[in-house]
Amino acid sequence: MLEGAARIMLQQTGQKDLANNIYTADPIDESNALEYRDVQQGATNAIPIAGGSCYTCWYFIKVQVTDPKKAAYRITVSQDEEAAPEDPQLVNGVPAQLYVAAGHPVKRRFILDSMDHWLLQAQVATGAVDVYVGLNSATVGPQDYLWKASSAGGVASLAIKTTDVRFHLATFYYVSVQAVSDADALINLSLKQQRSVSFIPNNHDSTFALTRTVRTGALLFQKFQFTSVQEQVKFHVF
Amino acid sequence: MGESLILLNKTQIYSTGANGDSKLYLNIQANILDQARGSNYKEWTYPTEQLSGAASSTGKNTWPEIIQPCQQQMANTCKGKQGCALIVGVAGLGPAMSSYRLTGFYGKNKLKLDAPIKDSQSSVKYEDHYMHYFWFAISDAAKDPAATFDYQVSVATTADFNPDLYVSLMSGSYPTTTDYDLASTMLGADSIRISSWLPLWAERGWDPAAGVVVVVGVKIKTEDVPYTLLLSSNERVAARTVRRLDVGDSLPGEAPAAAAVTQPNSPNGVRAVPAE
Repeated sequence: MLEGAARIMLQQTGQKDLANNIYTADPIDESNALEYRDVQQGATNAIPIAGGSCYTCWYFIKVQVTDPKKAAYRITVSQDEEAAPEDPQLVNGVPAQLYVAAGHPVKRRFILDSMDHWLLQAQVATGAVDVYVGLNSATVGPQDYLWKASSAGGVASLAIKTTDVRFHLATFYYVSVQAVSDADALINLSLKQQRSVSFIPNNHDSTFALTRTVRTGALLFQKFQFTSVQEQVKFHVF
Repeated sequence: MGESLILLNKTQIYSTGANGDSKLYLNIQANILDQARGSNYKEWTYPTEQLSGAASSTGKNTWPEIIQPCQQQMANTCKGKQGCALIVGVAGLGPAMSSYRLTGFYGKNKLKLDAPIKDSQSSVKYEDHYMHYFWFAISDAAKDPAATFDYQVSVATTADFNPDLYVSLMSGSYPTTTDYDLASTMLGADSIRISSWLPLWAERGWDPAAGVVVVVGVKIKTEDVPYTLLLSSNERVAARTVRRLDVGDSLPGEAPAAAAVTQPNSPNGVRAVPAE
């Protein structure tokens, strides 16, 4: 706070956050804010946001000052590198060779922007591994995971369907590869997702049906993507 | 001091055919608990055509009459006094019998624009749930028949709770899970839009220009379910400027309304956005 005093308030709403909607996610005052902090002149205050707390969330921030003529501030949104150092990113279609020392899991992260089914595969050159996929880099492993695969026959494979309720767009998933035995392992980790495209021809009516599912954790998010000669159009339908 | 509203709902109850028109009067009587002066009801000032603090007469036998005593008037009359009463008078107009229902709302459970509220003083227990009730009145079209309105009533909660929203319009009745005009019963948060464009007005033969009393019911499983109820104006929400911040961004660069508040000598060149 460069001058004056302020109250900063935070609220959120998102794909899987049913507790709020776009109206209630606007932090009007501290009574409907998820978190708030008072900041005095010359001081800095921060609201930490856990990375795995919300799927594709919009965070709404309000800075309330009593007198705008006597208030000046700077607000910054930044990644907390100390709390959560970034794991290297696994890119769709680009395999990564990993050396997994026994007792030392190796982590990667990936994000997808299409709801097509996808495949995560670890081809084991030496040793044996368990592959865990979760939402929290710090905790992903045997105690906290969404999907798990074990290498059998030299391959650990995870095939995730588009209808899997744990699969979301624009969400970072964290992969933890752990050597099963005392022996180190050498693997080739790859992520494969074939994006499907429906073409809409000119002068031809195309009909799409939206199946609005009950909001019970089933599919909430549908996406149609189609490409014309000139443009690419995406519809995200909530 | 809580806020109050008196609703006279002209509805045919005791007769047949067209209902007679009615007129609503209101007086505020102070010191009704003062044994020395004021507690004798025979000495109270009962409203008449000649002597009323407020009166409402739409001239239409299908429109409700609504009086909302203003806070300032209530404070002027009642503050520091020993009890205060709203004395309501109803006069039938014309030869036909006038039937009506009279509802009084009083308390701190009035919904106000952009004022989140977390609890109600009006709770009713039903067989397997509770209803917390709130109210407000829409007077935009009553003040100007050409005016439009677009409000949104929303309820939010915290994880794993599931409040639902029910609304009654015009009648002043308290909505239930089986008797309501609008409802939103999704998992988690709920929201109901009440706008002048709703087909419901025409379907029910209602005219929002008569004034709309809205009673909101929040259905909760148990009394301790946390929720926040909010009345928003979609026009205000649409007019609100929201700046997008990506990770790594800093503000202010330039603030909305900066032109009015920018000072060249301020450390970062820009002042804060005025709080609403």
